[in-house]
Amino acid sequence: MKGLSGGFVALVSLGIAAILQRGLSPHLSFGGVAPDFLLLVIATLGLFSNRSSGALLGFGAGLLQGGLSGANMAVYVVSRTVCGYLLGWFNLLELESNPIVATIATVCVTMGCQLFIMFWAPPPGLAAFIGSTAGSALMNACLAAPVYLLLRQFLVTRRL
Amino acid sequence: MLCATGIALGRWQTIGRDSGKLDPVSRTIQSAFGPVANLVDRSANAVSEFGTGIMNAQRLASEVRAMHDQLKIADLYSETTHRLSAEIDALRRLQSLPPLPGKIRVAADVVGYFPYENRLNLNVGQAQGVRPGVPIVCADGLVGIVQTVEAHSCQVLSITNAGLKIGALVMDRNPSPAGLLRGRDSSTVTLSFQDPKAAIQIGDRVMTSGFSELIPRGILIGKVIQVDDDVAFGRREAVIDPSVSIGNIREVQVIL
Repeated sequence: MKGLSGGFVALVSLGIAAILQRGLSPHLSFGGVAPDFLLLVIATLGLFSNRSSGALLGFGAGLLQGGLSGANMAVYVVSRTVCGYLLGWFNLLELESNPIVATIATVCVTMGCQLFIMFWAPPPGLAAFIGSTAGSALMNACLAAPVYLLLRQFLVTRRL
Repeated sequence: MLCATGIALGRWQTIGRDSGKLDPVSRTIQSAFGPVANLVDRSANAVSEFGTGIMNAQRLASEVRAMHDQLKIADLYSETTHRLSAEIDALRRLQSLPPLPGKIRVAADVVGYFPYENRLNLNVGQAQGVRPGVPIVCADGLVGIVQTVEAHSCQVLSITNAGLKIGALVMDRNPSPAGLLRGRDSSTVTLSFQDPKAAIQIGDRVMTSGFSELIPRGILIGKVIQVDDDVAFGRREAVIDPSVSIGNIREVQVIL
């Protein structure tokens, strides 16, 4: 991880996301679909990360998600870590990131992580799970651009 | 390595859960973020309720108006019920008045009330045998005396009318002091005694004297509430509170 302030931004972002995930996300639920703030942070912050810091970011997000929800921590940690790593690997392509890329990345990360969970621990209502995953991906996508622009204000001169 | 750590943490969590306890990592995370998240949750709830209130303001306002209307109707219903109940009680008492020897009672309704003139209009007249000077009573006592009579209506001077003069007795004394009753103001009458030593006290009941062909003895008029002595003229006066509340009377009887 490059820079102490980058790490600080990552920690604060994860903390805020965890609080919002627990306190606010249920209130934004619409038809059983709610935004996933921790995945949103992985996707947007991951665009400023390399493979290791991306994986570390995913690990932290998974840890918080598993700890807060009380669900199986392993599945969350592994799925988020893998997605964070892949996003960091994607950054090696040196593509110019922008809000649109952040939006697409958010959709991919959300869908990828949740599908990972679906295969690891298949939920009882598969169709409903896929539907809510797609809904969450759309909700996260709506939030991705502003979150990305906000994070870029802090991280534009540095890469994690 | 991170994935392996995650799997290990998951295993630790499962072991803790199986033993009925929360694993240290989850406990730390929940105690670190739980209070703040709860605060956010409560704030979001408040905002949500506020938003719901705004969204439903029109419906809620109309519901409140409807409830206010229903409350008014309920109050009105209660008031009407109370009034009707009082009227039924008055009618029952009117029906149970004792018979007067040589007299008949004719039921009548009050169709007009003039409080400043202390007069009442009744819906009975010459056709029913009513004539000037006959007394009008209700369940509570003497209401007044008929002054003018038409074919199917008559006008009554209430006992509080200053122009009305009838003989009255203080029934609670033996012998009963007799005096002349006159209207004083809209709510009281005076009973004048020629005897300055007439034995009367506050609280004594006053009734008609019966020293008249038309007005029988024993119709309640009211109670003494004040006794005044006129030393200069050697006269004693009693202020009487009528037992009848003229403004509330709907049904009366004419004593013929």
